[in-house]
Amino acid sequence: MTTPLLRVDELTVSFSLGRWWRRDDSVFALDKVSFELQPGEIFGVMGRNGCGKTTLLRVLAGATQATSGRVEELAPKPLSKALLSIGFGFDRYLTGRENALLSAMLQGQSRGNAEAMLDSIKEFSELGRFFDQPVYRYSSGMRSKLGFATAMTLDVDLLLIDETLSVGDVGFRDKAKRSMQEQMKKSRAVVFVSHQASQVRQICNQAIWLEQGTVRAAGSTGEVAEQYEAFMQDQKRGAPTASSSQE
Amino acid sequence: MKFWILVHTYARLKLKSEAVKTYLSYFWWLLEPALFVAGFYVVFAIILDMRTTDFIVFLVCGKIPYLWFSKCINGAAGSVFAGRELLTNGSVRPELFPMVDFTQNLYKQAVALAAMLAFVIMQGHFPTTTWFLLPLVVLTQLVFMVPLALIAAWVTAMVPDARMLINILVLMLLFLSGVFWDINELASPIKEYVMLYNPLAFLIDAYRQVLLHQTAPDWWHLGMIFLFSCLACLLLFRFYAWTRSRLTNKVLYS
Repeated sequence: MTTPLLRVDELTVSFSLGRWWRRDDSVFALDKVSFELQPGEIFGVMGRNGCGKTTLLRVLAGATQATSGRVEELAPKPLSKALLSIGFGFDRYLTGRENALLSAMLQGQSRGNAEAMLDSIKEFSELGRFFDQPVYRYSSGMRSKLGFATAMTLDVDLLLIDETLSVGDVGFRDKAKRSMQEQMKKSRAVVFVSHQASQVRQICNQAIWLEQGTVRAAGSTGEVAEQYEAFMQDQKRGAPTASSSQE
Repeated sequence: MKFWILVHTYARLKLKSEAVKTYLSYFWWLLEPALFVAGFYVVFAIILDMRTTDFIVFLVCGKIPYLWFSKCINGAAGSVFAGRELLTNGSVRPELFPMVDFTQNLYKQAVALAAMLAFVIMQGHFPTTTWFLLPLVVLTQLVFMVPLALIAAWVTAMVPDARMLINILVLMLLFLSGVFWDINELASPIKEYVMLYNPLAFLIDAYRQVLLHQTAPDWWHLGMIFLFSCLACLLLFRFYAWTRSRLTNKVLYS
């Protein structure tokens, strides 16, 4: 059995709902979440809005710290990471090229490396001459292509993707999927987060379903997606949910 | 080093983004300080009739360094919160934002400073050997402002109310630093107290000593400001590293 790239152990993130003079009400964005990420794996995280998906990505990216529990990196050297989310910090008055340069540098690349990547980013993004146009002239799909192309060219050990594939045309989505599978072959890992089970089902091998900050199901994507979809159907029909029956 | 190259690149691109938003673009770098000085001239020289032969040049030599100070501190104050979207990326350090804002102001100030020197020459104060000391005064002001900008950014990110206080303090310093009055006219020991406890007042006076009176500034005083500011910079960068996750959590989740 191979050593996991990353082990998430009882990860908990809680916030206080009260103001500074009353801090007794806490809400758990993540509550004892545990899973392992293998090298070469595209790991899916599915769940409704507000279930803790984005918080999980932020902790994995190292932006925020957990209240308790831990994320243990088991690779021999520290993992390089990139977090890709829709409209990731783009300045609408700068060109696609300038935004890509800045984005790559903000993800930890040196200026020289970032400049050397620009041609590949332009080619991957399929933006053509729009690559040198200000981003305010872009459609949301074009912005997504720019963001995705920048992240995929970065060559990081762990790529964290937040619902990005929901925008962009079918052709680009296929390309994005192929590109993630390429990453897999290089023994890198991808964590892909979405509220749509169908998207996770398409590209991920293993997955978890998060509901109110807790892991409700974990295992092969097919099984997890099935449970999540059944839950969502129940929600639509207004049937009592598993969580309410537990209470 | 990589951090400072990122700061420079980010600041340069932000300046470009800022310039393309307006019709007058980069011309605002000159126009903005010129309009401030013109406004002050109307109030003090014309309405209040405080005109001396050299009043306008005296005012310019105080107002341009003060404007740099006020923009650096007020700009840094909201910078971490403004950059919160990028903080979700674990490789971005919170001190990046005040430093980028600071660098933007530095590049703008270089233009304003060049215009100030041209204006001083036009008013009949021709360059002398003491002008070579000006870079030291500018450098000391720069180093003096870095820790203040870092403190303003950190405190405002943790307690947003601090922004109001910072705005008021910066405005108070306009009146307390001898921008439109001469600190040398104060009686002793008040003058010494103001100089000691308000380094901005000392620095503004140093600009005037060098440019208008061909006198070297008090080296001991200038050196101490430089040294303490350098030390404060080092401590604050360590402090930012130490409080990084606390600061990020605060900005992202409140």
